[in-house]
Amino acid sequence: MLFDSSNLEAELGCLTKPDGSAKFTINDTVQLCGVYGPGEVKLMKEIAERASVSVVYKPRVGLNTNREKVFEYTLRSILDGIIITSLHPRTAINVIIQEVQNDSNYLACSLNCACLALLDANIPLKYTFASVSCALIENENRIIYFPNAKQEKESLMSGTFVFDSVDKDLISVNTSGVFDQDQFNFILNNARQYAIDKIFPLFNKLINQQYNKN
Amino acid sequence: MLESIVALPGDEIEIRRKEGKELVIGPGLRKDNQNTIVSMKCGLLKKKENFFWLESHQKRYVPSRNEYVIGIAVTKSAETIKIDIGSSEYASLSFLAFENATKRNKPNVEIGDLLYCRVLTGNKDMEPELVCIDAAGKASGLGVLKDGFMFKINLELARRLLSGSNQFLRELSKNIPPFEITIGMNGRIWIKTSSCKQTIFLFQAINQYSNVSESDTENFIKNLLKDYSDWE
Amino acid sequence: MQDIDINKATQPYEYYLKFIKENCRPDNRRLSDIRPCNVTVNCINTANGSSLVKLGSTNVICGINARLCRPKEDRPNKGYIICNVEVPALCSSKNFKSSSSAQSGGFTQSSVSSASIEQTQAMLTQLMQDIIAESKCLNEEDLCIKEGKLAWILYIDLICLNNDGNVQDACCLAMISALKNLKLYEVDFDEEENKPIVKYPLILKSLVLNNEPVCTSLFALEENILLTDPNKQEEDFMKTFVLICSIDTKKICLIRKLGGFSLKTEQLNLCINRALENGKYLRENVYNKF
Repeated sequence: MLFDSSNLEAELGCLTKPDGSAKFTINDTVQLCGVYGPGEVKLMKEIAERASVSVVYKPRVGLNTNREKVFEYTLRSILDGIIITSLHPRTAINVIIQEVQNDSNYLACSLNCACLALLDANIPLKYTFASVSCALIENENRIIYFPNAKQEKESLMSGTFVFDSVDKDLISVNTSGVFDQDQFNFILNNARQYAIDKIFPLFNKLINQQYNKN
Repeated sequence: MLESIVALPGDEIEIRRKEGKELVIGPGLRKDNQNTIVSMKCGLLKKKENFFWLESHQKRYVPSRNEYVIGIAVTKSAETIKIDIGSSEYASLSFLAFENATKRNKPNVEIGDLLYCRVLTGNKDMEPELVCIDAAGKASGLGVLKDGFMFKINLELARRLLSGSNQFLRELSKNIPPFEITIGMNGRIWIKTSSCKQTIFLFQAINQYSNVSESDTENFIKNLLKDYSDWE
Repeated sequence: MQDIDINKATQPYEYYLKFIKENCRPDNRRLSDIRPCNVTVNCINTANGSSLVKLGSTNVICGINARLCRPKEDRPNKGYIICNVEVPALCSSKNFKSSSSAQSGGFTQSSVSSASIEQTQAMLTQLMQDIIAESKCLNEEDLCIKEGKLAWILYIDLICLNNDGNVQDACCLAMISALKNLKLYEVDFDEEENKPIVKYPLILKSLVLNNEPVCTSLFALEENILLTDPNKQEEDFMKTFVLICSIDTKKICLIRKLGGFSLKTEQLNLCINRALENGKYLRENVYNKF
């Protein structure tokens, strides 16, 4: 069951200093991402046979808490698997995400933003990835995509899913709420379909626009 | 047809191979485990005879052999100069790699000087090495660039300006006072003109040219020159 | 015999794969088995609740201290549960450097598992906090003695004494075992004098948990091979990692999967089935002992 009134917008190359940058908007959540790379790396972080990926997430207010650290680690593990790091040994690829506005869905928004920024920076990737956040409403068996905070609280379960662009398999998932296996499969399949129908075409459209305007 | 395909990373590129002819794949494409050609970056698929590659927008330079780049001298040691060419590592340039250089007759290079050099070795595992002489031992334009003004553009624009078929700079130079220009493949351009106004004009012209397609070049130059003559 | 030893040192991953192809692991487990698990409770006398878990060689100790406090104005009927996990340098040679560098120069380190000490501690702390919050095994309302005036704070401290892989499962076991054995004194609130009164004779009350979460970690090597409960060496090889926390025989409260390569739906379902079975096994054999 689809119920979607989400507003997705994205912009590539909005910052001039970083090698690649992107801005992604989901309803009222806006995230900005800058990518530097492949660039100079500190000796401590240098790896002999591949690039060293580092992620920094800056919340709009306050310092980094454990929640942000966990997100940085999750994104780094995703990017390490996607970036073809063996092409740039002894370099650093730095991904910095700045929260501009956070209504909810900050995970999905930041992940999509990071993917676009990497595409803008032209760093070699194995495939692109798309992230969908959805919530399952208990009694009605319907799914809300990119729920706001109130909808998430009232839902039975919610989760952020990350799919790859080639086989559309699950790269990463983060759930909240109590559920059983069938409900998980239901929400997983619907999230995957949403990514195939809405998010990957959005990426394609953006990149086509950028390259075909000349 | 083939020209307008924009590939994203992970896209399989279908290339029909001609019998007996070798297929050569260039930047942005790779062969994966199943022997299919897959793109690594996003870009326009281009081809020339049996050579396929992706043309993509990039700001960060990755050094590769036999490219001409503009670098900034960062540190000097007894034998070599460390040059910043915009890549992940500083490149090294030996003092003896200049025309007529010997151990006693070292060239006069200061920290902060601009140098136009050729990349001798540029692979991912080593620091890049530069030289300021060509294969015959002559300078042929390489070496220290004195005075002038340097600015950065993206790599695609640099390649475009350097390509033989591009007439932008030639057309422009017919209508304004003479100037000197050097274009590095690492996205750096050095210009030397007789007046500040002309430098600013050229800087703006080149930066705006990145948004202009090949067919609009003439109109673009006409509009530019209109503005320029207003200044004079 | 010598050939085997050389292979183990020079090509550890290929040596390990040889076992996996035969459907077993070097430490004599099947792919879906966890290591032998041993839990001791009430090992710290000075704490209100404690437990020590040995999952194979991984040792985690948990101590819970309860303190009284005044609840904050925006949540007057709730107590607090504060988790903290420490992975000190003593538990593993890889944790020796406490700088925030991500890699300590090891070339066998898998990109999925490498993290600095601060990141590991942050991840585990957040995970423990999330397990309590998502599973709702303990309601914060139960910790409130007098609304707006008096409530319990539970400080749950977990320390990894020996890291032989899969600290997160051991931490979860330790925390829930300690919570099950937590004994709090009965306390009343005196309105006139505005302070807490401990009831005499001392009555110890244990907390009733709504459910018993069990964490299961699974990891994948090559495309189709999923294994449960990685030890330290396996953590170096793993290509992707799934963490599932089940609260009873059918329900799950948490699924986390880190990056690395992607898993198909059938493999995910296999992970969920294994996690539910493992949860059932641990509840019967470990939690029900106390």
